[in-house]
Amino acid sequence: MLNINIKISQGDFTGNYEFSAKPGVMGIFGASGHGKTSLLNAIVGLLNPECGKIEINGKQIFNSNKKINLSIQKRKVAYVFQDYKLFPHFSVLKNLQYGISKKADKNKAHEIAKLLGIDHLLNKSPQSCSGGEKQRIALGRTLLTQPELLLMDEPFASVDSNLREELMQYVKMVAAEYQIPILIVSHDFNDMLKLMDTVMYIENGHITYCGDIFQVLSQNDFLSNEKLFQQYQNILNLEVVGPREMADRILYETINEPTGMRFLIESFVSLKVKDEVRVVLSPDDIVMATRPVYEISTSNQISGTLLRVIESPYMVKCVVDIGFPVLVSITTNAFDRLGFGIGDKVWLQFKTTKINVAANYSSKKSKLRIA
Amino acid sequence: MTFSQAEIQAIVLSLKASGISLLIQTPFALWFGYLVARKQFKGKILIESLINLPQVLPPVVTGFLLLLILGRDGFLGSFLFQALGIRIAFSFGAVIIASSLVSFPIYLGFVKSAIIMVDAGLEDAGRTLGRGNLYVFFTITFPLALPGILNGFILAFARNLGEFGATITFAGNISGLTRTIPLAIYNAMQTPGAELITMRLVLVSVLISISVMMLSGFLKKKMTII
Repeated sequence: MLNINIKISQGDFTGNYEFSAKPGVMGIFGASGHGKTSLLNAIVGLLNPECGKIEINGKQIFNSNKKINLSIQKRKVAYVFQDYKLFPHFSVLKNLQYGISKKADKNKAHEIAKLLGIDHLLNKSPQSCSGGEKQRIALGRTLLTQPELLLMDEPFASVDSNLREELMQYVKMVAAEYQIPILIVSHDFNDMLKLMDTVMYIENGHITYCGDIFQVLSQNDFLSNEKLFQQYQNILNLEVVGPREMADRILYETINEPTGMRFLIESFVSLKVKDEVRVVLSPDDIVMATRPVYEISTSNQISGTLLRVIESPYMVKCVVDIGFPVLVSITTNAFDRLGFGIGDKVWLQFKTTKINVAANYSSKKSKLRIA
Repeated sequence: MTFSQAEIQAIVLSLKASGISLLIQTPFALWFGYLVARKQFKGKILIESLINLPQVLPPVVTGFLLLLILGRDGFLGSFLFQALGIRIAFSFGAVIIASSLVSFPIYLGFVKSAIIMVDAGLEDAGRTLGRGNLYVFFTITFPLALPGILNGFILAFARNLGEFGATITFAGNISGLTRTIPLAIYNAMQTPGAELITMRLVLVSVLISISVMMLSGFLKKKMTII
C-alpha cells in the first residue's frame, strides 16, 4: 500500500499530490509537462519533494516534518525507465543480476529470464535486443530486487501493438504474483484500459481524477474529464465457465464474478475453464432497446436502468446500470425517437463478436515470484 | 645509437616523474571530475578556474608561484622544512608537483567530459536497483567513461613529459635528480658539441609523443561502447 501527500516545486512547476495506491495497476495520465514523471521521480527518490510524506506498507520513506528521506537504495521502489536504461557494457544476464548482491541468489536471474521469455538472450548485449525484449529485461531486472512498489514510465510507448499486449500480460502477471502497487505513466488511456485497476489524471501538477476503473462511470469528476471520458470503453473481468462449440467456431460461456452475470464471448486464442479474461466493449457496439427483443441474432441481452445521459451534438452517451455501470453511445436521433428517460428500464444487446478479449491473465500465470 | 648515462637518467626520470604524477592525480581527477560533471555547488566556477589557471599562466609563473609557496622561504615550504625537515623545491618531488599542476587541468577536462557523456539515467537506474553510489560509479560510470579517462591519462602523461618552464623554475635543472628530457635537451643545446645528444633526445621525445598519440587513438577506437 502506497500513501502519498507531497508538494513538489521545480522551477516554475508546482505539484500537489495526495492519493493512495493498493496492490494492482494504477494508470497515470495527463499531458506532457504536467508532472507525471516528476511524481514518479519523487517516489523513487530522484527528486526531493518540498514537503509532505510518502509511506510504503506503513514505512515512511519520506517525511519532511520528521526529516525522514530514505536514500534511493533503501526505498525498495523499482523503476522501469521510459528508455529502459539497460547497461550497454553488460550482457543481458549481468543486467538482470545487477541488483542482486548475494552470490547465492544470482541464479534467480535465469529463472526470471525464463518466465519473461528472455532466457535465450542472456549472453547477448542489450543493444542487440528489440524494444520488447529490452522492456522485459528492464522489468526482470527490477523484479529481482524484490520491490514493494513498481513504477513504470511510458513502458509501452516504443513497442508495437502485438508486443504491447504481451508486455501488458507480463505486467498484469507481476501485479497478481507480487501483490504490489504498480504505477504506470502512460499517454494511451484506451490501451491501458486492458490493464489498469485504478486510473489517475494529472493536470498542471494536480490530481483531477483518481478512482477505481470499474467505478469511473459513477464519478462526476470522471464524466466531466473530457480527455478521459471521450476515450472510455467498457471493460469487464470475466471468468471462463466453459466452451460452447458452434458449427464453425467456439464461443465461450463466461461469468462476471461480482454480479454473477453471464456473457457469451468469442476469442481468437483458445481459452480454458477458470481462465480470467478482461474484455473491452466499445460504447458504439452496444445496442439499447426499450424492451427485450427475442427475434434477434445477438446472444447477449441484459436489462438495466438508465442512470445518466451525457449529450453531445450528434451522439448521446448513456450510463446504464446492469449491476455495474456500462456506457452506451447512441445517436441523438435514436435517443429522441425511442423516448429514453433517466430511470427507465432498458435492454442492452452485445454481439459476441464485438466483445474483444483484451487480456487473458491466466495464460501466463506461473510462479513468477522467485522466493 | 647509444645513449649516455646522463641521457638514460633523463629519460627514466621523465617517465618516472610523469608516471608517479599521473598515479597521484588519478583519484583526484576521478573524484573531482565526477563532482564537477554531476553536481552543482557553491564556488564551482571559482574552483574550476583556479585548477585551470596553470593552463593559461606562463609555466615559469606557475613555477615561480610554487617557489613562493613551497620554496624554503615560502609560507608552506618554510613550515615543512622547520617542522618536518622536508625540502620540496629543487627535489624530485618538485618535478612531480610542477608537472602535476600543469597537466591536471588537461586530465580533469577529459575526465569531466567523459563522465558528462555517460547517461546519468544509467546511474539512477543502478541506484534504484539498490546499489550504493560507489558501486554504481565503479560498475557503470567508470567503465563507460573509461575511453575518455584513458585519453586524458595519456595526454596528461604526454604533457608531463613536455613540461619545462614550471619544472626548471621550481625544481631546477639538477642532473639525475630533476633533469627531465626537455631540460636535458635545453642543457645539451647550451653545450657546444652536444648536437648529437640534442638530436637523440629530440628523437626520443618525438617517438614517445607519436606512440602516445597513436595509443590514444587506438584506445578511443577500441573502447568506445556508447
